[in-house]
Amino acid sequence: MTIYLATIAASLAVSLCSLSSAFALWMPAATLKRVVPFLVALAVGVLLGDAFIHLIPDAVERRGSVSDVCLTVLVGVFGFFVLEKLVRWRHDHNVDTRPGAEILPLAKMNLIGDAIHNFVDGILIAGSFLADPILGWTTTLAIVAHEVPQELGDVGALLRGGYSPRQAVLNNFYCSLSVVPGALFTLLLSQLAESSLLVLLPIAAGGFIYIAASDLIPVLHERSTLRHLGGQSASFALGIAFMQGIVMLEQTLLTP
Amino acid sequence: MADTDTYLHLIGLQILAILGIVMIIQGERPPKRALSGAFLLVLGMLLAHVVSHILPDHFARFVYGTHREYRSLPRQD
Repeated sequence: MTIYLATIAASLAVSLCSLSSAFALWMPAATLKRVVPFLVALAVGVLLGDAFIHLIPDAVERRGSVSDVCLTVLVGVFGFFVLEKLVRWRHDHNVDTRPGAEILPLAKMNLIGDAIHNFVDGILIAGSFLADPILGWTTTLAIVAHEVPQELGDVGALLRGGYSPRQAVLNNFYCSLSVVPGALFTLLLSQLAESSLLVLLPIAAGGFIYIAASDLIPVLHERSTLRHLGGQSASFALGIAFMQGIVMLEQTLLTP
Repeated sequence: MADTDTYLHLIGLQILAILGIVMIIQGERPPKRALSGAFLLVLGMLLAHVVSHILPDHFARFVYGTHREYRSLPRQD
């Protein structure tokens, strides 16, 4: 019973972290507008870093075959491409004419990708608690550490996608709640959840690569001043460095 | 590993924090009212648990803690 409660507590702690992006609500609108392009660059670095440094190596370690993982990543990229086509098709057929109601597909894709990623995080948390409670808490700590920069970047992408700061923070939080169903799914059907990770990890990676490369990087090219070149490159690199740092922290925490 | 009560309190406090923050961020009135109802419900459950379980336990430990018979009782946690 305590394992179940500890897993739920850890999942709620991860969800609570996504509310760290609420700082955007107290920023003056002009400052927020200036900061958003750099947050989008941070999101690109964090998403690509998470996919290439974290998710794909983890999937390879579990599956053992690099070619199978790469194929599943490509299936993920393809799936997100089809999903975006559907979102754009629906968007074109349901035009909302209210002022400020225009939400770009990149924001919706980001929310879908984030929800899948958080579901996977829930599976990882519950899986480690089932193995050993101490491993469960160290895994939670590692997930919290990579969640905070990612949520900052995600909120930047959602703001760029047309959401108001309030909507961006709330929608991002609602997506982060998918940690809890992920954890419950694992607690109830642990073997099925463990094997589903073999597919879900590379698909989440494919989704992140697709969102970063096709939705977010074109947004970064909209501004081409020297200040944006320097600032966005630094934010992009910072996102990758964050993820590398988290992987090193994870290795220290999870190595007995 | 902490006991069941500690985890229940932790989960309760996390839910209170989530409801409180979302209530502040949420601008519309009907969801805000539903959230404040849920906040009061969780707070009420936590307080009821404190009043019906934790306080009596502490009182019993304070009053009978030095009695050998009390200390030899099998504990549930």
